Amino acid sequence: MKFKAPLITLGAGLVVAGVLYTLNVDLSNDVERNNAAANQTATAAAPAAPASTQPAADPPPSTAPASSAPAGDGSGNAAQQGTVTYAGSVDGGAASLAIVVNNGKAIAYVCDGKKVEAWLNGTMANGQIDLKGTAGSLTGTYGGGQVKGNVTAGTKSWGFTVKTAAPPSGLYRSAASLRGKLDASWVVLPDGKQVGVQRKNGEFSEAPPFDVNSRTATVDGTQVPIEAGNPNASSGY
Amino acid sequence: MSPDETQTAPVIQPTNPKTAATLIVPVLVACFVAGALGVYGKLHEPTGFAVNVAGFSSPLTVKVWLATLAFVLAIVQLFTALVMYGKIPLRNASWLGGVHRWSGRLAFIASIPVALHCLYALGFADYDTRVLLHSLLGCFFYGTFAAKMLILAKKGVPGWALPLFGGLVFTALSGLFVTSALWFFTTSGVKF
Repeated sequence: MKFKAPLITLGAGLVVAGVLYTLNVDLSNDVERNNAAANQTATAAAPAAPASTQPAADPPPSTAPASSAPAGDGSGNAAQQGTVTYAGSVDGGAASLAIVVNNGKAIAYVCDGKKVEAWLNGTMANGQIDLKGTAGSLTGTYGGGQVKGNVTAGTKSWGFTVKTAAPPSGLYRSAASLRGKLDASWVVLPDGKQVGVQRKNGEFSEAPPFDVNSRTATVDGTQVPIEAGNPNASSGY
Repeated sequence: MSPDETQTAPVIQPTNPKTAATLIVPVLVACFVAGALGVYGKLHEPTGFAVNVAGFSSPLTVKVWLATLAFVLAIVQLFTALVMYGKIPLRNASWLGGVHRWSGRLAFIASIPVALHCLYALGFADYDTRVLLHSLLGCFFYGTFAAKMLILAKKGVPGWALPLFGGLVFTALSGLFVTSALWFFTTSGVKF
């Protein structure tokens, strides 16, 4: 009997691996379902965000559709999957925040939809996120599909926990070439809501809504292209 | 995971002479396991995430500490094995076999969540030398480990086989530790 012990060891290892594997597959299925739900609502909600078209299978994803989707920092081999976006409200809901990361490089935009805003960029790797900008900073940790930390914009500071979000949720900014016409930035929340701030004659105010499908905003009859934030863009943020 | 699990080894069995032929099946299994892990790691589209263990700041730190635990236990393995083979004189060491077996089992079990996360969330990768080495060693480790367990359970195995495979398992695990957890500690600092 005794010489069978090594075989039992191997078997126990297989059982542990099997259980973990099953949990992982379950998790993947959940994530896929959530992402599908998020995409569905996002497209349905794009023009006017009607709350009634949310898929019945899932609870209303207005707060966090891709909630249980633990995703990484787009680093390592996972980078082949592309960019990871996190979006949501800060604790208390006074401001909105979106973070986009690709291969350890991250950018973020936080704003209150009225006058406080900050564009930030930096690194997101090994469980830590550290972003800086002229108007603020963001530090925190990530893992399990969410980023947790503190963000500062101007004189305001908030704690936050934001979760992974499916496109078109993310961060946007009016094209650099037409910022004379419109200089605005937005967070698009997982439920499709746009929260943005524009700068006009040195004053900050609420940004006008833009068309998330055509990615344009119309200002005084001029169509201004709106660009999705990308950590690999050389400048502009 | 110890020579004394092969209690049959010292018994001379004329009908079953010690021959390297007994190693054929374990080595084939090793090749199969290593190859299968590599193929799975390459073909399965990495998800970028996997189930997390509570209490740590990120999945990465969980892996780092489990890998460190496995490595520390592997050093216990090396030490107890050396004593059992008489390379380190230590008297009244009848408990050593138990320590060797259980530290080995623990190390193996501790390594599984780490390996599963690697395979499921990241996959077999080769974008730099460290990562390629780590991917290769990971496949190699479970292959040789399976072979060693099979050899332990076999009768009439040549005396050099266990130290050889034990040594390979230890070397592979050490290499895995250096290319992952040690790399993490030196580049990111010690974190929980």
